[in-house]
Amino acid sequence: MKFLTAFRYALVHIFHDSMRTILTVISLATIVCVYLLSRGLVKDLDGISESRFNFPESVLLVMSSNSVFPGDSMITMQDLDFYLDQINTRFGAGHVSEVIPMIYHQVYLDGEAVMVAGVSYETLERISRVQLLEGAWPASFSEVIINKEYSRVSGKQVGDQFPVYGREMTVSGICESSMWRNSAIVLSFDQAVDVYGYSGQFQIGAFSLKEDLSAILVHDSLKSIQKDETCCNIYLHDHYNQQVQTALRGFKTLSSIIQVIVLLLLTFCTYNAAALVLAEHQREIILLRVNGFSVKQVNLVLFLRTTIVVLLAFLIGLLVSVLIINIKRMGDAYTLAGVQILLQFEIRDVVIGLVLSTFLTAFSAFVSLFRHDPLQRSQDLKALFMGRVG
Amino acid sequence: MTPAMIIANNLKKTYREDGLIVEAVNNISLELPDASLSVITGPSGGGKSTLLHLLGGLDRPDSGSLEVAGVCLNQASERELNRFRREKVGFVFQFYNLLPSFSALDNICLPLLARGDSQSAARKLALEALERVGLSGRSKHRPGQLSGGEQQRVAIARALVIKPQLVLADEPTGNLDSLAAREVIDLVVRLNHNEGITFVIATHNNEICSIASHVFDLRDGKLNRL
Repeated sequence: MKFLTAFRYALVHIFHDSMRTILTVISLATIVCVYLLSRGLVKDLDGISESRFNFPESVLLVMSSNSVFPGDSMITMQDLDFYLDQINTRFGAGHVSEVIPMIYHQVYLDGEAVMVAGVSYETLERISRVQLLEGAWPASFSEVIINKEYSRVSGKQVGDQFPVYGREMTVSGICESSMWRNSAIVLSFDQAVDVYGYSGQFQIGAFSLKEDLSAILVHDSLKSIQKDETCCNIYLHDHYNQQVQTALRGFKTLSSIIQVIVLLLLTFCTYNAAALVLAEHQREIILLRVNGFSVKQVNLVLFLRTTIVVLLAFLIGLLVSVLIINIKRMGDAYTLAGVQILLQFEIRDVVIGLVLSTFLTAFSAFVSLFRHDPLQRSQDLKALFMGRVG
Repeated sequence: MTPAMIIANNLKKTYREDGLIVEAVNNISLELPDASLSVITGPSGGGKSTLLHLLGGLDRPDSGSLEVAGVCLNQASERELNRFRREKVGFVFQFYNLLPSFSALDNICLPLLARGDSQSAARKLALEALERVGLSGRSKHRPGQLSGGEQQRVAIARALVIKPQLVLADEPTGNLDSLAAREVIDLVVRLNHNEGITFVIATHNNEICSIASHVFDLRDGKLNRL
């Protein structure tokens, strides 16, 4: 039997069995959709894991204890004073060279989630090792710097103007920092207080210790402070980065498990679809065999039928995924640690899914028919001679 | 002397049913000439269908030798059996067994497509076969749109389209009213007489028995010539 003939046969069969085909396509498309979106989620999490605080070893970070990512934290100057008192009490006064409050907010500018950081420029330059690539540090309250990623995404250059919370700001410089792998606008702390209307709360606090006191020693001493005394946690900056990495690793592991489950589901459903066709059309298949069709030819028809269904499901799953992503984009996208969770997958993910689906289809069709050739079972033959096909 | 279409010697076939061993075909020997019209009668469960399976290369005998249309079926490989079914033998069933999703013409095309004919060549031959059974005007109808008699004639056309040397029919009139049965019998007789196709028919229909060149009774796996 020629390939095109087998293809036509499979198509006619699908149309005749339209209700069952639709149900199979819907279930497979749902699985494909989950697969693609979970691939996108892993990609987004990869983006988050690239962002990390880059402070010297002498810096301790304070964040609220119920948050993992900076944007979720909420602390006050009283919290920082509490820790400062503790350091002074336990190690003596004069060991802290600087107390640094940092504001971390997220805004949507032209549909793009942008992290707005409010921190003293001097601190950024001296402690956080933020590198200015172009332009100059802001000289007035109406100037900001943006990071390289935001410049790339928005096309903004030094001298461009744009509104932040209703204030017209001018880009005075473009910077690069491992703290903001995704789009970021950097204001001075005072500027951010002015823009946001300071309510006494900010996101992160940092203590810069003098060289005569070990940050590890201070951290070990302060971490034992009971939870009822403060709602904050104190971190060595690399510990904090580790904590973020651990949290992200958990998410990524979960996503990977989902992907494995989804692939198993895809295998099972594809096999099920092939086996169901075989079971439902047993007599028809025997009839083909009686009429001289070889096992290979029947296998080809079954393979093509299942492949058409799987490819159709894949196409629909792909379209639905793209639709979901775009609908999500039109509204305020969900963000994690200042990174938009766009769920955007790559062509490579589509190709891998497509290759796997096709392989599984071939495998399922083969296994379904390999398990038993109807002509090898006299009961099936008897059924054909005694009953109707259909 | 007319050459033999079927030569069977000491054919045996047993199978298990509900834990019991049934001797469906028990030491049967027969020789049927080419262009003959043979009828096998007997009670249900007597082994008629099993014998047809063996003659059609759908099943293999446990022992004995069987040669049909020059092919030694008891020694043939799976590939040879496929080829035998594709080229030498046509089947007609009591319940027609047409594919409901396909038109009459497409149903008739099936055996031709199995042997590798192109779609257009298969359609041409299928139309000729439909014409031979007097249904050229019903080519686009689906089985559900045809009467029982018409469906059986389409099934016969499907059996004939490969120009088989042998047609095996299992109760071809068993599901038809007397008028439709008469039409099918006339068609079988015409094909047998005019085209020299060998027929082996398992039936209880006395009318077919009366026109057959050979009549056998098969019960408890034993074949007796009547």
